[in-house]
Amino acid sequence: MQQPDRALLADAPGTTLYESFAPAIFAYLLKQTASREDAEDLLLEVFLAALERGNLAHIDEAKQGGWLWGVARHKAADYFRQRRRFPHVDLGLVTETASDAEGTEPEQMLMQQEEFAQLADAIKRLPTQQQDVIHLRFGHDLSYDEMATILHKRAGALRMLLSRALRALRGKYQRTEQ
Amino acid sequence: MSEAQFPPQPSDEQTRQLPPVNASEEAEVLGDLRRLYQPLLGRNVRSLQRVRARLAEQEARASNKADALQSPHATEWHGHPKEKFMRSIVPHSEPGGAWRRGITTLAAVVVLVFLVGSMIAVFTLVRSGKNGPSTTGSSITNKPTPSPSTPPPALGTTVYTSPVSGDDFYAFAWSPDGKRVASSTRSQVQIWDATTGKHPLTYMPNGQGGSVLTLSWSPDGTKLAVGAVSSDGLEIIDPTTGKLIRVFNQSVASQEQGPGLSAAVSFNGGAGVAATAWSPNGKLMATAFFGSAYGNKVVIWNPATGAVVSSLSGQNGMISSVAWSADGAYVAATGYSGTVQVWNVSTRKVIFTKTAQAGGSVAWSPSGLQIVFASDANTFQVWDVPTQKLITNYLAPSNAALGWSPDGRAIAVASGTDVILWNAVTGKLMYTYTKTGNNVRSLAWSPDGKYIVSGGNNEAGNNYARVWVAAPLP
Repeated sequence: MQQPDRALLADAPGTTLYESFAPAIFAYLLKQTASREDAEDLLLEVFLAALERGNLAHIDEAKQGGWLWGVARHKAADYFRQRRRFPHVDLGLVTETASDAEGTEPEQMLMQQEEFAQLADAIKRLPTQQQDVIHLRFGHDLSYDEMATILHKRAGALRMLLSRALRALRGKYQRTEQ
Repeated sequence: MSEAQFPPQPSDEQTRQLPPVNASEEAEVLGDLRRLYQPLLGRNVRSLQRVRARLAEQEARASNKADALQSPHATEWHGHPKEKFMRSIVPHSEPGGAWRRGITTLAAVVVLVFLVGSMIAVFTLVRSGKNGPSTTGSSITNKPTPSPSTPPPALGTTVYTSPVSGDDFYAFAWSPDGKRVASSTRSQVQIWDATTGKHPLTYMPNGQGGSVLTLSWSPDGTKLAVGAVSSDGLEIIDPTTGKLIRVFNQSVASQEQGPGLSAAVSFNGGAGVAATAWSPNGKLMATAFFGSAYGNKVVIWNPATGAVVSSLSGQNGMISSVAWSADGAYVAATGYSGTVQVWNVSTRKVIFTKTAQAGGSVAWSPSGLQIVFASDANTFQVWDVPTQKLITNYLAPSNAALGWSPDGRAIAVASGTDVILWNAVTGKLMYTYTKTGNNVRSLAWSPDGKYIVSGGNNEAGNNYARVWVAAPLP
């Protein structure tokens, strides 16, 4: 019953590489590629690279994360090179501006729920950064630290952003309801 | 709110203390946001599960040649690995990927044309064979198989109803190839063709018959484990002949505990089996014996040799259900003490404990490490075991039978007179099958996820097993 390379998928509770890093990396890839299929493929490639590397489990968690994130960013860059979509654009910039492109999928989904149409509409009118934080927090269930890696901001700043977004939503949402 | 009021990184505490916060308003917005995003979150969780399943496949394949993969690149973990290393594992990131996809599409079209063509050819051949004198008549005049143009039967269509049985159906187990179903009652085991009931084979446990609460088919399909309440142990039979191959008995199981066998409070002369499950690779069996004399343990043993490998303790009452995780590393069990527990099989340690409906069932997700169980008589819950997080729940009365669909999307639960299918991620209702009977107490998915067999009774005490279409789900 001993599985080889268990650390990758099913080691002690809460400590698998996949459990620890896949949700945030997937959110990042989905944001970058604007395609669920492509994001899944790239995520698989990131962890296959980890599998290929073999002994990733033996280095500390910060370094594991650094390595995985390095591979993920590399994959995203490759993806864009191949697509010739954002030629010569610094990835940091892509992160900041891609939300319009990636927004289609979540937004379509959100708008399908008529019950919350007003709320979805209110979210759309928030500043982009606040929208990003809401998408990542509620659509991907990410922690502030995970979001910080994706959005290149400090966790504390993201807390503020979310707090501000919630406050704004409460105002807009209730005004439209009345 | 002015920014100057706050330090650059306020803690969660401080965020919560922001004035002027109306807690109920905030809770309302948060709740609405969660509900609004739940479908999207569900899709994202499913994406993660899909990738994990694909990864597990690749991992299994790769583990065979793990040594060969110890490449010199393995030391380059810091920063960006070499381009060459990336390319070796990322075929589609090479330049020219679009061109190659074009070729692939072209090839797919050619194959499709060929397939359709050959189907037409075969169809014509069959028809001409029927009309003319035929030397290959036996193969041609076989009962008609559904032609590709016939739409599959709709979700919820009952494809087979068993003859009436005076006894409740206690357990069902589908053969791994999906062709046969084993069913059990308080008197016997029957094995029959899954969608027609044909070629029934009867097995009497303990040589004389008895209540069979649990059935488990070996992953290679060559053996069936039969756990009867009044027996001398777990019986392993050949499902093609109904012949007994081996009995794993309680005296072996209790070896580890020393005294206790003499104190065995047997149900009907024997000690019997309450729950059993074959490990995914077929090399181990997890069995819970009937009666606290055996310490309410789950015994892990080797079904090829009969040797006890390990035993898992922690349950304080009789066990009603055991299940292996898909990777074979963990075993979950629940029972009459009202808890569900998960053990790491190699360390024998309990890594997960939650309150559960007494005497219920537990099942694992087919890929990944989530379990579903009834947390009380009216609630089913899905938990992620490694993170100890509640994923979702579903409110319905529980009859203590449930099953996770092979594709991982749906969970089927026996609830009152119905079998309810609900989404494993969102907890939303997908379908309700109402034709099983008054009291559904057993069900099982076919390995391909297309059918469910469920059993129920009516007031007259008549029981029927029904096989019905459980796909495609919305």
